[in-house]
Amino acid sequence: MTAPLLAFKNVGYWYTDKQNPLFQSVNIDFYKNTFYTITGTSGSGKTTFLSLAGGLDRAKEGDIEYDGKSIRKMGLGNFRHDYVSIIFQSYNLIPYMTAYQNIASAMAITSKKVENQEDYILKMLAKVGISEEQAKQRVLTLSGGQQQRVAITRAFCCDNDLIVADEPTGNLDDKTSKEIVKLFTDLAHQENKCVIMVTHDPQIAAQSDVTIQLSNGSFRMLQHV
Amino acid sequence: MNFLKRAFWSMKAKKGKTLLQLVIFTVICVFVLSGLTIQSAAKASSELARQELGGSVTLQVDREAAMEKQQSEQSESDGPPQFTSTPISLDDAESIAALDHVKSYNYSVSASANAEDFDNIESSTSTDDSSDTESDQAPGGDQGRGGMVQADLTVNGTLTSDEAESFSDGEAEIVDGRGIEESDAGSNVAVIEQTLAEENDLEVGDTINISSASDEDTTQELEIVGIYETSSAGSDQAMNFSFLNPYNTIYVPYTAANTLKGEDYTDTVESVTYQMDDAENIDAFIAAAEKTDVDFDVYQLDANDDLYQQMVGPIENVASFAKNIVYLVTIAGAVILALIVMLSIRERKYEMGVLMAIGEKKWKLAGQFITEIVVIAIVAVGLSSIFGNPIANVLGNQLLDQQTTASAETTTTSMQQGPGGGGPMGGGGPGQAVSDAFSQPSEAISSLNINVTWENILILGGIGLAVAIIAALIPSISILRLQPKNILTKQE
Ligand SMILES: Nc1ncnc2c1ncn2[C@@H]1O[C@H](COP(=O)(O)OP(=O)(O)O)[C@@H](O)[C@H]1O
Ligand SMILES: [Mg+2]
Repeated sequence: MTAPLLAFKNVGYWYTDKQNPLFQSVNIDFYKNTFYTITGTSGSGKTTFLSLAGGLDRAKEGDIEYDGKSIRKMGLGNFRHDYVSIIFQSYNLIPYMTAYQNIASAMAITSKKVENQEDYILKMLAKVGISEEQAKQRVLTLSGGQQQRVAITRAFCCDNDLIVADEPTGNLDDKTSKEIVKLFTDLAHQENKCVIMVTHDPQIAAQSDVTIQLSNGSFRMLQHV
Repeated sequence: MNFLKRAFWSMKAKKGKTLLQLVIFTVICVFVLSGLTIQSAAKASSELARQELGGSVTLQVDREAAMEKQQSEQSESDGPPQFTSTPISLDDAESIAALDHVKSYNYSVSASANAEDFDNIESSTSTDDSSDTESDQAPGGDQGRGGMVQADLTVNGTLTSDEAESFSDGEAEIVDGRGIEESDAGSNVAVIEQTLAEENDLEVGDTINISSASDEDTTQELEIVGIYETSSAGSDQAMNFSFLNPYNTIYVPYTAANTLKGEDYTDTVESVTYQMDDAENIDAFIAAAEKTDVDFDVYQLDANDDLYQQMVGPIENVASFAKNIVYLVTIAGAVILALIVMLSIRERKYEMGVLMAIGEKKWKLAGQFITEIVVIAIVAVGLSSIFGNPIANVLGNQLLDQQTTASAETTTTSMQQGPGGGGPMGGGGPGQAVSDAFSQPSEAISSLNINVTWENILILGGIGLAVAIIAALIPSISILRLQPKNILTKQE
């Protein structure tokens, strides 16, 4: 088996009370070409866990390694910049920009260069069903499903190996949800990415390769075959 | 350089906010520019006034002090009060002339004399309604003698006649030959008035004989080296006293005037007028003079800068007011802009969170904020340099109008208090000073030539940039301290 892309090493985390941590001594490996889902009741710590995986927050104990290197040592900002794409329930697009500008900005920030960038972005957006006209209008005028597609396309265009998503289908209807999950599955399997998605929908969890159930600070791994 | 693009997109998307900031910034810039421009115009005007007026300081006997001293000494003896003044020694005069800020200096010795081998110009004998008591104001030359002396001529001893009051005023002008020069000291030469010369068929190169009015045995032969023309009409008293007739004034080297006055006066002068390089330096000059060995219990230094003060007073008020405008508007402007930027901070926080999650560097986030406001600042500076000129003109001249009106009022009231309030005016005597001030209250600089210069715009640019960066940095700092996780997860 190949080396893990992301490895939690004895990670512990708490917000205020060190004696009563959210979780402790977590050791989980994440691999490329795999679609992970994280489930658990509300307040069980899914978002917190995903923030650690995505380099938005620092582990209180232990360390997280990316490709064998401590993300603490490389700096969380650099880690996010170089390796991670983050997708949230609220899409996290910049409201005053168009879909196209959102993606172009993210590509500029992560220094991802392609030939003929405009064509490339429009082509990628077209793949998820966003027309050129829609791509050139303010993102806020798009529907929730369309905005999430833009966010996913942004992650795709930035071409990072690690993609973390916090309930990306939370605001979407069933049909749209399915299409979005399909996009994530494709990212993992066709683009050889490591996708970690938080969801409370068991149907979606069932479609992933591995489901991590989080409850009372313990993690249970379920392999789907 | 994507943050520049983002700044542009953001400004374009939020047109309303951009426009509001631009309007506020432009108003700030117009005020700051007006303040700066008015300040520099005021400075230029008062400098011009200073250069034109110069300013001089007169060293002369402190008559009040001398009088008091003599009265206390003479109260023992029963004789009539006699006034004798101590003339200024040349050593004293020169030690002060050696100080900084002295552009040039001139001596003044006045004496009275009678014409021996020519006729003075007779005054008309028409009846005159001025009372005899007024004639107590005897000419300067006879103060040393006390009492009244009848004489044909007033003899003005100078170092350089060009710098004597009536010549520097433009009242008198050399029409033939030359004036008295420094090198004439010790020689018996004279410059006489044209009318006197014509009446007596005198020309440059001729000689005249005069005798001292106080001692007929003291006579002098003077060679005429120059002829001048005076436009002075003379005073009322000139009707009664021939030596007060302006045509009967002759200019000689101060040494010649001293000879007429008697041996006691050798190497002395009555008063010295020091021309300053700049009226601004008068105070420094007086302070330095007071440190010399000259006895200021007997002598006094009087600044002749009343006219200058009167002229530049309103200007200086305008300048300091303009300076306050610059300070006030700059600070208030920075605060207002920072507040506007802060009002939109919630929205910006989210944007910053998104960009930071993608991995944007913090300095580039601050760079975007700063760029947005700096672009506005540049446009505002540009706009205000177009609109600033007329506004600064209206504002500056309005301010000056108020100031001149206010100062004219105070001048008038102080004048109504009588000559005492007029202040010393040097050789001209207090009466002269008051009437001058009365007749020329409008001498004050009454309009400013306000022009926005590149220098003003450059300074404005600097201030505008500083305001912009402060307005952008204050909120940036609070945003940059936030963690992207908190920004993004709180949103849900
Ligand atoms: N910033 C915070 N400060 C303190 N407690 C927090 C903070 N964020 C989350 N928590 C707490 O930590 C627990 C886990 O929260 P979270 O990771 O958001 O759970 P989930 O995403 O599974 O709903 C909750 O009990 C929540 O109240
Ligand atoms: Mg959550």
